[in-house]
Amino acid sequence: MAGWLWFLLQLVIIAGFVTYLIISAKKAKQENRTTWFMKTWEKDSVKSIASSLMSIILGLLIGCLILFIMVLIPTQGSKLSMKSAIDGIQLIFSGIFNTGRNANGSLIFGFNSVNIGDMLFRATPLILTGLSVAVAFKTGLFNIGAPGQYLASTSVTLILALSIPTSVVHPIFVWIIAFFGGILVGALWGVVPGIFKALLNVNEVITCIMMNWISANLVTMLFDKQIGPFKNLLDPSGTKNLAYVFKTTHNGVATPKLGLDLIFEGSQVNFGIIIAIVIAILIHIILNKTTFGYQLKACGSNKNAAKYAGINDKVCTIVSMAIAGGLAGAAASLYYLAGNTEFAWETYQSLPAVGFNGIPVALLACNHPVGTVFSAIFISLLDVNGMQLKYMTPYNEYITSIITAIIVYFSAFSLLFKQILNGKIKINLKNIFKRNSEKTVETIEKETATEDKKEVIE
Amino acid sequence: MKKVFLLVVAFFMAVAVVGCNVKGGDKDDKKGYDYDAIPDTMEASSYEIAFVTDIGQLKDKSFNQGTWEGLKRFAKENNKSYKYYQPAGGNEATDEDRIAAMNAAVAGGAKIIVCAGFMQGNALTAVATANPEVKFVFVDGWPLGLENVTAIVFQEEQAGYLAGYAAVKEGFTKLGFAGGGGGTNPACQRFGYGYIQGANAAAKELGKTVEMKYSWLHGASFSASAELQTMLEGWYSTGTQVVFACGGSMCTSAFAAAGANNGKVIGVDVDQAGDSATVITSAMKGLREGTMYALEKFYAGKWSEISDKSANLGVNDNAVGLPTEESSWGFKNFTVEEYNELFKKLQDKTIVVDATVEGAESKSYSNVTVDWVK
Amino acid sequence: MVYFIQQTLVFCIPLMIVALAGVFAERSGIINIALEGIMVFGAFIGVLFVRMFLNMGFGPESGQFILLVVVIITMIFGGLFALLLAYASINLKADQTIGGTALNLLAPALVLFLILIISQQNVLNINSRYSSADLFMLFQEDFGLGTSYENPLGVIGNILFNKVFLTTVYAIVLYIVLSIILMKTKFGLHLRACGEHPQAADSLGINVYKMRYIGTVISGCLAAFGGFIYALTAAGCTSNGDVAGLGFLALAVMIFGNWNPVSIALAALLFGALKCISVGYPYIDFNGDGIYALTKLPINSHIYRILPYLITLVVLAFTSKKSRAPKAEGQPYDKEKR
Repeated sequence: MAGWLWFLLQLVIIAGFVTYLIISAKKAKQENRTTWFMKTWEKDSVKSIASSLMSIILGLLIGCLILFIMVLIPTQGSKLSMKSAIDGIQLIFSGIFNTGRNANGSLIFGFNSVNIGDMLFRATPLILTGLSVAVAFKTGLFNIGAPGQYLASTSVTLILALSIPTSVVHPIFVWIIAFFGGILVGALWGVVPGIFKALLNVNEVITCIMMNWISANLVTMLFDKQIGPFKNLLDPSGTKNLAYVFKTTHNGVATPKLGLDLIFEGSQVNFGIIIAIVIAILIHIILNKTTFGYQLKACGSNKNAAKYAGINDKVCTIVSMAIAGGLAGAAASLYYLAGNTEFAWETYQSLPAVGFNGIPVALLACNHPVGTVFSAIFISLLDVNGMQLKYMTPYNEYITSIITAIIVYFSAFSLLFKQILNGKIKINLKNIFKRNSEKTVETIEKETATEDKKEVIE
Repeated sequence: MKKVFLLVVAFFMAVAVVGCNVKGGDKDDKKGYDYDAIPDTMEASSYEIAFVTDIGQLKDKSFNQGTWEGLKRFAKENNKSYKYYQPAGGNEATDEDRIAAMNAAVAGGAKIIVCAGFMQGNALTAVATANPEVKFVFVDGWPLGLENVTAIVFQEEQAGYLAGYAAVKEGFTKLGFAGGGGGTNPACQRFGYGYIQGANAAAKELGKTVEMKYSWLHGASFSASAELQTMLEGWYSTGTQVVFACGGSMCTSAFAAAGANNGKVIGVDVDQAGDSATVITSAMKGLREGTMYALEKFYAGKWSEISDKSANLGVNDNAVGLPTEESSWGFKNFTVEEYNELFKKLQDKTIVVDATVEGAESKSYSNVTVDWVK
Repeated sequence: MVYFIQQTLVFCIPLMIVALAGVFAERSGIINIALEGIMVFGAFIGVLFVRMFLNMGFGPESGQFILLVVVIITMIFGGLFALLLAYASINLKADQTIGGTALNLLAPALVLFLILIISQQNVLNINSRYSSADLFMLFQEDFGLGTSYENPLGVIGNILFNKVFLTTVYAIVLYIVLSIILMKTKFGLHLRACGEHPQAADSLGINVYKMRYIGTVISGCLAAFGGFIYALTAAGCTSNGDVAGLGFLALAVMIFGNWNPVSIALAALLFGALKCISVGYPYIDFNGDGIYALTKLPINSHIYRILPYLITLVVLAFTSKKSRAPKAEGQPYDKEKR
């Protein structure tokens, strides 16, 4: 029962907090004054976050619904009980705090250092690939080439980290060289689509896709166990049998843990997560506080206007893609320099999923650099919860993939949610399926549009 | 808006209805023990027997599936709870992912954990040392010097030998071998090397020369692909008559290519005759039996007999071979009697199959010209 | 030569038809990045229904009938799946890239989930000892051309009448018909107008919303069909929630072909041929003299596999100066904002 109580407690706290906010706001309205909450609420960014949260909650609720449906439909020859559905729902929401089952077989919750640490570890590359996609989006480009940039950087990072003798160069310098080497190659891989776009007017999507597969095949060639120039970096031990490249710890190179392993005991987390967050903040500052960032964004929002303002859009395109590539490269560097990850070099038939996962991360964060940190951690949290669901209950792992997809799908409607929050759309259950409700949506959007225009003019 | 909504709802309902209709009757033409009838998931508060999968899918029609079916059957017959744990990261699973999966199994109440695949070695050492009270079975592995680990390994080269011999005796002169794991999986390497030796021996007896195409391409992840199918189409269209598809779900590509070119396929690990009419035989290894053997020892209180040992199962244990049931025997010229004779020779060691795969690719064979496709 | 052309078609036909799917959506003003997801879904639906028909007792004798019915069903379901994108991007004016990405994520997850429920496997097969070739492939004897190894009509006969799936024919016919509709009819003009200048189209009395719905749904139908062709010809009629990135490649082919059906067909053919060479180069005998010329070149298989992508890049560098996407693609259309 402990699990249930924990879950109920969460609900009660959240519900209580929301009721408090609503009641205090109503009271304040009657007395014609404003609370801190109402002031914050008026901010646009708060509403964006709230609408993202709404889509997340909707996605999670639909996920719970699927669990219940699976109870009704017999799966894999056995019918699931209601208890497993309830366990499943608890795990979807708070699997990260799960610490196993007690003697009665019910779930117990608490601080699970391994889960939380691993969540942060898996979020590290996601933050950076998400940033990579987001930066390109800001300049009006779609970086679907993150997987290729990631792979190219992986190979170079590993080659540098494993080939430079640590007896000559201090491991810290090897780490730094490998890290920046990876970023550089990622940037190189990103700059090619940028150049093609700027100088030859080739759509970046097509170049990125081609570069992905070139990278996948090239990496395999580099490490090929028969003819590859770096075949000496393959692990010949019995459990690897040349299928994997050495971990960087083989050469004594690894990202320091800096005490994080004390907080999250037994997990894989390391200093890389801090580096990733710092990079996200740096990108935020570059984009929002510097002229250069302003130029990049201007190219993204209106190329002609940017040109008119004297911004060289070609340079913007190339530089933006280079930054995007470098960020995807940094993702790979940090992931493999962790030192506990071996790399399966035969990649020519598939691209790394983490590259593509950068797209939903960026989209969920509305392309906001700091937002990607949160959305990456959130997606990684969903993954961890999904693992718990898979390991602790009879459900399979695809449920979490479906939930992620539904959340992303709903996040596409964030504009709609925002308008609901603004009170511009009244939810009227009777009208929801009537045609005229659509008309109201349109008129309302017209109003918003005119307001937006006014703001621009001002 | 209403229309769209209704359409979407109708569409999901249709999928559900079709799904329900299609269900049932899975593989009803497969005879023998119905492993699919045992559910893959069961509800329990703790799971006594756990299975940690190798890379590739649980239902890969060969390695993972064979081990899992043995485990399920044992659990079912002895009324034990069971669960499978698939390490995160799919085909790029790392040692850490495997450790996490094994730890989850331990936390889930496992008394014995079956770990499939040679890649589990490092993770096993770590987890088995930390949990001495839990027993581990290392399939395709070796003894790790730990009291609570036992290893099961098969003499795949003998199965490969039998398959290669049978194919050449049947009258095929152009053979193929498409292996999984990119040439890094020892079990697949032993299968392939045995296959060459068997073909060579038969060709020598018949005084023929046999051509063989031998490739590890497009099979690194043991999955089917358009590239693999195109390559095999190329083989069949340039005269190859039979291909040994050695590795998991890869067989789908081989079946498709063989079906279009009137070619034949040799299956692997388990009897695949029920999966396609193109399968003439399968180089089997007794994954189910091996798994059940270790579990039986454990539950009979005889763990000490197999503790820290490696059971090297081969023809003498009836753990490798070709299926001889009439429905699985696709040969016309090569008879079951001839097969049994050969099998005996392997048993009494009149014929010894070389199992050292190192350098196998640089050797030359008297009656087989091997074309290493790289 | 026969091998070369047939294997080229294996890659070319799905790419071509899915690229056309992309054209229909983008020409109406909707970016359909969900091609990959719809293909995955189409492959699943196709295999599912083939499996269902076989379970109902149909056999190889009615193979061509099943094939036609399944193709139609797959297209209907693909269109329905695309409605998710259409509704999000037309009615809710959501970001089309996000909607498409969501479908790309949703399709494999949903498909794998359903496959597991239906068959207890990670791969949905047709649950039959018959292979896709036994069931659906036409050999020369089916055309009454004898069973000898040599086709009486020579190389051409071998290509046209031996080892063919009728889906190839359906795809080519559909491609030509739809291309003509898109480029030469009034309906096509209206559709394209919605992607170029929706405001102007609206002022001429064209219902932009309706046109965009039609474009997206046709796109879904074609992409699902392409997915099924892939499952049938390149995956032995199985579905595992993956089409090997073909949807994204089709997107690339569409851009390569400059949103124009004729160029797209050529681009798909070029890419298919390169892809075939990259995998099957040791078995390609161009002039039938028994010499496999490409094995003589001093390049290894890795380089061969890189070639299709590298050559595409080079060709693009020289040809794409005048490349231009439909002007209004990706922009939600709002009637009131004229």
